[in-house]
Amino acid sequence: MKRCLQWSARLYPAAWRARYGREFEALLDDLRPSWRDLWDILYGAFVMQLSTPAAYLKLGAMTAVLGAILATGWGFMLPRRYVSTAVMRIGPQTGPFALRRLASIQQEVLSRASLSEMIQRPDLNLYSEERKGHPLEDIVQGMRSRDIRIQGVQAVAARDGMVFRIEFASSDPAKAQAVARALAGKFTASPGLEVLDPANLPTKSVSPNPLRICIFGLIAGFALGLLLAYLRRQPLRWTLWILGSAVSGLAVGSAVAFPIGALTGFDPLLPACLTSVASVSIGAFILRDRTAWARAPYFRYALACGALLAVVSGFASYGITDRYVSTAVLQAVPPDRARLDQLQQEVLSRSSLAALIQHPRLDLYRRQRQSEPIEDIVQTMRNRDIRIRSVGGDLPAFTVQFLYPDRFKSQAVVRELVARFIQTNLSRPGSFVLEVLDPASLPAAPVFPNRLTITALGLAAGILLGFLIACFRPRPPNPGARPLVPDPSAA
Amino acid sequence: MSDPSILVLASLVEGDKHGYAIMVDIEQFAGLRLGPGTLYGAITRLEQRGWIEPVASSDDRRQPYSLTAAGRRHLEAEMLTLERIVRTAARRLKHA
Repeated sequence: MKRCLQWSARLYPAAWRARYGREFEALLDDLRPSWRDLWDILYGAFVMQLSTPAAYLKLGAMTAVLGAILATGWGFMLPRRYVSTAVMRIGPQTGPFALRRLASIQQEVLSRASLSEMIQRPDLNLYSEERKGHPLEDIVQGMRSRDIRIQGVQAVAARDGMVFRIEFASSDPAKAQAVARALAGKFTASPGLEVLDPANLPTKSVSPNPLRICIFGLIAGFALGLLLAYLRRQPLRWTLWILGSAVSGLAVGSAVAFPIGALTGFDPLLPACLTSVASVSIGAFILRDRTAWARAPYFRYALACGALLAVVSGFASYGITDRYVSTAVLQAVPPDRARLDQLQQEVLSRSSLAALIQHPRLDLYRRQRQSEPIEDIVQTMRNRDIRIRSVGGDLPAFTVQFLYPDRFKSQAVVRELVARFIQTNLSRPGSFVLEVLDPASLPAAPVFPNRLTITALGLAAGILLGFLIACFRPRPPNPGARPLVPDPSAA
Repeated sequence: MSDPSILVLASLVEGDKHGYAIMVDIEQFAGLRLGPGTLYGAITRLEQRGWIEPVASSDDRRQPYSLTAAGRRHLEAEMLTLERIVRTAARRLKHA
């Protein structure tokens, strides 16, 4: 035990040991050692380490390591997701013909009836837990939009028919492979489709990323350590005030973010944490403002207003509907601008777009159609949601894009527009060749709203507002206010 | 009353003492055993504030400390405050 105490004494800072080391060892020699003494020395060494000028770094490093360990542990508890991939080819047609055929087969394979059958198949038994609490319609929708991905393989598509990839993500690698295989089987039921590369058994998970989680824990732990080191040198009320601000901010943020998250499907953790950070900023601002009322308040006002508006605008952005954009690239050979403009006018004519909107398979703008005339909706679709732009200056290639809240419908509309371009071109005398360089993409992420930009704009506006408030705010000395932390110089 | 700094100052009023002697003395007059880490934490703080100072000794390992004039004044101020608290509490207890 005595040796244990002597070893623990080495944990004191070197400068302290140089001054008190010998007499401390003499004291330990005189003592009848106990476990209580060991704990007392360890605690004393910890406190003394935090009293050195490098306490910020020491505490920051300690909490960073602790944060990294905790975050890594948490990362291991998260469910893993494995993706199995099968590669297929549709032939013998190429270009838009293959695309239209693939779209038609894909629609059938991903239909509600087809996916419901697959989910309820006893050998697959998919989403068994979710099926207990959610309607099958929601599970089919989730499977279609979140777990299944069908993408074209561009490099091969140009010369060897149309090659595409089917992916299915699941927490069970064997199940991911079985479903990808079953999906490929559904595709091969149609003539002209073959499997080039059967569904693989994934060995590595695609998420969560343990390195990213560990780095996140490291940074968060380091920031917390710096905050604790700073608060340690302040009165206890400061610590309690800041902790109270953080907890209340987290509580308020969670109370707002989690119900909205449950309704809209976004991850509520980030907004809740942001609210907590903003709350800490506001708490620090109030604390500083009470103790040093007469000092220039520009920075504190700007920080508090910026943090507040960033959180509010970040939350508000979740009220805006996500919009996806699908893009196709076409090429006219030889390039003929006048003819292309004529084609575009015909494809985007009122009758053409009205037919597209009311197509039973697409059923676009359903809600708007209940309250607005079809002319207005056609106008909106043409001016706002459809974009046809040339690629580069003199190149004969141009892109066709459609912006819509449903990514599948966005892709379907672009496919339909491309097909109409080709059909209209072929039906006119003296037509040129319209070639599809890049078929309609299936957008993976929404392009609008950009929540980071909205939050950053909120932050910038808040900083500006804070400066304005600080400039125009009356600044009396406020002698009647009782300071939260008594001013030591007044005593 | 269990503030280690006050206990160390109170112990040194009687005369110069090294760490172990201070610990034994406090245990005797206050019935409280300070751990080695707590004792030397208090000694470090008191020396930094100039309330105690090391004195020369024949034993190069056991370093005795003595109370400075500033330390004595601080202890007296603390004792006055404590005395006032004790008197008030006793009076209120009598009338309660």
